[in-house]
Amino acid sequence: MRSTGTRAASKMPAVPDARDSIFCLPAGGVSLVYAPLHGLAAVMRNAAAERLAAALRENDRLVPGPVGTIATHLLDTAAEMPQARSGPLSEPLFLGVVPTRGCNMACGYCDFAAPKSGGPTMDLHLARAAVEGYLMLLDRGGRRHGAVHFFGGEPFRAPDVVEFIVEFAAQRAGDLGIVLDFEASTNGLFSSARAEWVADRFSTIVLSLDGPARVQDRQRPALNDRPTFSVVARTAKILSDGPAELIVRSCVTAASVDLLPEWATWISRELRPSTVCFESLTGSASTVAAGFLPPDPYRFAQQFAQAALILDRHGIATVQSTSDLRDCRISACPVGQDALIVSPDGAVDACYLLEKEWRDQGLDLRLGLVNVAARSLEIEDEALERTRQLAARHKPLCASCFCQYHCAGGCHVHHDTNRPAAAYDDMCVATRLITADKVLRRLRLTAVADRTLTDPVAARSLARHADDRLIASEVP
Amino acid sequence: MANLIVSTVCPMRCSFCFAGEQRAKTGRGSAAYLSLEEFDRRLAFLDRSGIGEVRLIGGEPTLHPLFPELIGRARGRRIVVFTNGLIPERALACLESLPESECTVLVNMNATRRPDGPGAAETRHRSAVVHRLGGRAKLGFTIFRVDFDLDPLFELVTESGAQRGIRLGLAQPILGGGNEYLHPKQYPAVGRRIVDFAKRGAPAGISLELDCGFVPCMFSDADIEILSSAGTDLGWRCNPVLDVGLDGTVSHCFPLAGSVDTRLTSDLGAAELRSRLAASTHPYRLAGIYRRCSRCPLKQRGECTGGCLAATMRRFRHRTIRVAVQQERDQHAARE
Amino acid sequence: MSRRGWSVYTVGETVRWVVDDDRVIIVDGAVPAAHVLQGREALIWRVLTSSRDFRKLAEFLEVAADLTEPAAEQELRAVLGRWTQLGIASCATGGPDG
Repeated sequence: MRSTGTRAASKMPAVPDARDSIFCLPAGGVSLVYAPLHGLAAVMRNAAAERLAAALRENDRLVPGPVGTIATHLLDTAAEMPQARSGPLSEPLFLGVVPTRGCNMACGYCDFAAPKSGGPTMDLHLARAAVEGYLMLLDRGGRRHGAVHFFGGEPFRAPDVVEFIVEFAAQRAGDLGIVLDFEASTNGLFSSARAEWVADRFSTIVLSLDGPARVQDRQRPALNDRPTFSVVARTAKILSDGPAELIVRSCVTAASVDLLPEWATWISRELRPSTVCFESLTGSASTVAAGFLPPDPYRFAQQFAQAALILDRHGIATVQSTSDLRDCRISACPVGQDALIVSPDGAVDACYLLEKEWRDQGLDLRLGLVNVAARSLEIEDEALERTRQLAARHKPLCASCFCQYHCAGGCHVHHDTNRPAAAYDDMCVATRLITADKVLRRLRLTAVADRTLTDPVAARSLARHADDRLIASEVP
Repeated sequence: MANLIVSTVCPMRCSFCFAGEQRAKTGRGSAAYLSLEEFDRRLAFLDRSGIGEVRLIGGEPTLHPLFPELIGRARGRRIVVFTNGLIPERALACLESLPESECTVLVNMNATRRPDGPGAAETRHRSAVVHRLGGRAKLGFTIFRVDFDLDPLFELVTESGAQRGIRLGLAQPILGGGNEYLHPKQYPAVGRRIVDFAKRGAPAGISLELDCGFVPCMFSDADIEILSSAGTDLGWRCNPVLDVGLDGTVSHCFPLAGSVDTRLTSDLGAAELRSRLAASTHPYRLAGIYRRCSRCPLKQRGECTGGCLAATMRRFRHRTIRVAVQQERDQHAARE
Repeated sequence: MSRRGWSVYTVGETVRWVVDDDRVIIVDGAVPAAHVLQGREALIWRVLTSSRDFRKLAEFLEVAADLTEPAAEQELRAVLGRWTQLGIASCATGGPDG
């Protein structure tokens, strides 16, 4: 059934006990109480945490002192549980466009199975139809603001498609009184003229730049094996100097993890990003065969924290996609958030990964297709609902983890959350440590944060903590 | 108002300095100091302009060999001196002799010879000068990086009896130049720090004054409330004071010196000169420092000018574009 | 059949422009005066000034505005003619290489 604006039946998730969203972690000899849905974080002595746990278990609001104040707040404050989207498609997260799956780089760890050269490029008529369809959705929903995100491969391998979409979408949106933001994820390997155009026309650029030259050139060479640092750094500086918001994204490997502070220093001195995103390499057979190993998660968390301190002094945010504390959410990626991602062949999917990748995992993320003749996006209601519920599904691995409302289980395609609770892998370990560090630093407990990350016993104790729920576990 | 450049000499090498055009002229063989005769002509200009304030800038104005004489000729008007704070003794003594009610010495607290910021010796010297000037001193700070620190200024104000308003300026780009400046993308991060400092200074009775180029969107609504409560002088201005150079060149402002200039004449006043300069820059005012400025309701209502004009003009592109287009078919020829 | 000649349009030396969210602001420093372009005219300016490729722009217009090739060229000529009248471009006849 195509989207007609009628409400499709949806399965409502069971309302959990709100106390299950109140967590307590061992943090270097004290207890970190974290309740993101209640807007509360606190550090207290272990004995106090025990009293708090007891108060919550018994719904006791009469406990004296600060513990009682916190207990009352937690018992009386409604937990704002993030909900799956529902109802007709009225506010897509963004229009995603994959103008080509081709790429001009040969990144050593890239598992992207698309051919590096050739492959279809999006037809301009299809591009126009996708834009028109998206704008009509916004206009019908009364939205005056939208976004178009470009993915790949490398989107600027099809520069005419990108340029057409940007210019046409801006003009058409203007006709409708809609303002569009343009964002692209790019490797930055293009001319300075192109970089200047990108800086002028885009709102946000996510630029992949893994580290100093010796890192970037090894991890992300060009297709002809030539080094890329000088060109990509030039792009980064042009973007820094222009109006576009720059986000630097660095993939961290075992070989590069110890360079994060040095890299952060270079970035803060040479560039003007709003954000630096460090992502730990996800290891696979092909990455190992190429000589790239993921970093030790404990080391990654330590170096991440050091780099974050350096960048923070310059007003630059440091994020890891699964440790973003700005929102509580059920999905850390576009899946489940009504993003409409159009591939060169006109398919509309919920995810920008290749169809083969998600089908191999038994997932169906196809939402519909672009109708070129009608200049519309034909989205199946059932498909939309299916991806929404995918994001909202129960994730056993995450059931007792204090990160679940930020991490949301990570990538729906590549991170298997259908495992026993607390069977944490390296991604989970890094996420847990970095999240705890961020919470502690927000509380200005720098010494506790440092101790938690640098003391191996404290770090392991937090990372492997079996059940973070305050009411369910014994306080350490 | 008008700033009178009396010296183009300055030993500082501040990375953010936007007086480069003036210093460059000295390097090209022009005089480094304003003559007394020319200074008298400047004072006449101020008189016919109805300006009762003499604002001395540079380079470093206190390095003028006849600085006390300049001050003597300026007496009877309010005197403002912009200085890097490393003032020679003779000039300092002259300023100390002025009543506090007639004189303000704006001390740039981050001026330095050093590439990595003021050294201990510079800081000590400047601090000693501020102590001697007391209530005549107003501390100024140019923000050119996000990680700036005002705490030492708060301490100095408290200890020295300097004026309790600290003037903050944003380092702006020289049009066509290469000085270090704060990019508008960094304004929100700077805005958050300013709010933190405003909150810290308020209990000590120290307030912040925002010079030209600040924009309301660099602060959240809540932050603007906090700044107002802390006594911050908020102004979303780009109406800079005229800068009158040694050679009689009148610039819109330092960042636009060499790009938007006119000449001092013997008959026109500041208002007329301002009009001339505004006429050549007015079209650029349709834009602002951000892409969204031209559709911003605050700008359209005149509540914000759109930020620094130099930063705005810097956004404009220029290339020689040549496009060859085949002419339309000749209808007679087609029919033939 | 007569051969078609070429017109060469040049954006003036004193012309500067900036691309904002929903408009292009052009300042002719020689006058000085400002012109604001929106909608399709803004699109044409942006593409011409970035790629200087008339054929690409014509193709964009064909797709974006459902124009035939001759109609797209005609629209472009009309816009270029308007800019010439405004003084932000000048026109000279010559070959395709100028």
